[in-house]
Amino acid sequence: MRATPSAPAARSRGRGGSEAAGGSAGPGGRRGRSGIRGRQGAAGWLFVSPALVLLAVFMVAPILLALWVSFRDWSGLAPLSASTPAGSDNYQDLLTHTGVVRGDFAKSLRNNLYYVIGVVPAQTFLALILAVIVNAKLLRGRTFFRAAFYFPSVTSSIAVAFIFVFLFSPTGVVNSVLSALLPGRVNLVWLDDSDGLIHLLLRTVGVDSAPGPLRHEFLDLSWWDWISGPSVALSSIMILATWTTTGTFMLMFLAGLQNIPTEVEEAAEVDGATRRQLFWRVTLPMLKPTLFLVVTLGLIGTWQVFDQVYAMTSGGPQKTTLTPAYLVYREGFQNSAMGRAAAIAFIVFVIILVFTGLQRLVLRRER
Amino acid sequence: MLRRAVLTLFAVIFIYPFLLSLATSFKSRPEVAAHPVTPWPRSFDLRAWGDVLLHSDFPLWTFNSIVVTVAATLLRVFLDSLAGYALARLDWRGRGVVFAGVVSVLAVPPIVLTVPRFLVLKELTLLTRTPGSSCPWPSTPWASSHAPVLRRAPPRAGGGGPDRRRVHLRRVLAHRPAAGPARPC
Repeated sequence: MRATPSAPAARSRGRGGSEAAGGSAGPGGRRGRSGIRGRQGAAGWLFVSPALVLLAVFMVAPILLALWVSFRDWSGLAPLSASTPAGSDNYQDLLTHTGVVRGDFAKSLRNNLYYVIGVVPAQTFLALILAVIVNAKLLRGRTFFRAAFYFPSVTSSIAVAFIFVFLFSPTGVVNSVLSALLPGRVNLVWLDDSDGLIHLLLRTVGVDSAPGPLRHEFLDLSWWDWISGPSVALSSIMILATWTTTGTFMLMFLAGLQNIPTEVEEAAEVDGATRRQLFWRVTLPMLKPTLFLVVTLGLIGTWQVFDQVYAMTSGGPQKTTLTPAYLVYREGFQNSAMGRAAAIAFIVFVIILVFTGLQRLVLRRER
Repeated sequence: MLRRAVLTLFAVIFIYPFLLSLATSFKSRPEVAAHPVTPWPRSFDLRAWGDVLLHSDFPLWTFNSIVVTVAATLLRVFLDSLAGYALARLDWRGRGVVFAGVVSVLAVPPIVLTVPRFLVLKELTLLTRTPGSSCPWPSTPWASSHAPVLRRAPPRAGGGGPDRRRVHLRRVLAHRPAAGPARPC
């Protein structure tokens, strides 16, 4: 439960605590401590309660409700009271019972896994590079570049997705540009191509279908299909996602860069550090908290990709852009299986916790 | 030089899609098919604009968005600066518990909440009424997630009231640790 935002927040909380203590020890802070505390106590609860009420109604209650629904069989159309207890059936359908449901869930996990592996490093890397360049003191037009890179982030994701449908159309910009750069005409039907990238690579060396051992299935999906790589359609969405989020993360890196005291970098320069050393030995280590934040937010965001899939492909072609988040929507609102939808949501929640936990371990060990 | 080239390339990649959609909105249908790539219209056709502005409910949708945006923003700024101030600067019993609770609830990814939020709204019968369906409530609690950010505000020795309030507002409004780069420099 306290995987992600709590990490930086907890740290800042520690600092906040000492801050508060420092404040009360300051001039005038000590007098009539109990009186002040009493008044502050009332004010504290008074100030916090509106936010708490909203949190309870729209966060805590839904979480508990979802947990309950995930153990029930409910269409979402009839009143909730008409639902019947389902035990752990919803979870078993997804994890242990052979069938289409489990197969689709496996596909969505595979797709999203490739999505995460592609998008998180790409956006983090790009954002860092752009931030470092834009942060240079002697760069003309910094404000312009900063605004340009941030522009996609402030635009509605659905609107941006439709722009990209247009760009990736067979006669669209992407194909035109590629045709100009590469020999021959590129006529890719980006959003309707279900070939996995790894499958395509293997095809170039003559492997066209599953070799024997890869025909075995795991969660109703053959190993051959597990290793397919992201489909061309999914890759288009990955490009879109990277394009959209890079600006936001660049801004976070910029904030991190500006929090590095210039004295530290100047000291390193005086000590004779080259630019490369300066970046790898001083700047990057000092950016670690920001890096942690960016990767964490990236992981959370990419495991929940929905808007782009909804607007661009609806899970197709051949379910290669199906993601768990989209599956939640499809099962809950189109297939009237709210219980199953809630169960998927909780499994995704666990996956996110595991991923952020792993990432925390890795970053901590490096520290 | 290389640096500038990289930046310019990326700026083009980031801006071109917007320019193109703006240009496309002024192109006639045959032109869109014939020249989908040019970022300027040749025909200057206003039909698409007329369709959207005059022959659709677009003005209503825009109005709805404005209502939601304004209400949600006002509520967020107000409630979150209250809560954030209490959590960051006031000394009261239960503060630690409340803070930990807020943070742990916010760590739950929103996807888990799509279905049940729909349920809560439905149970409260808010979905069928206008104030309900355009109500900013569901998104409001998210804003509280930024309350903890306030704790990072540097302590000011003689912090004057208005100054401090401005810092808080800015931090809450900034929504993400973006307060840094937003500074002119």
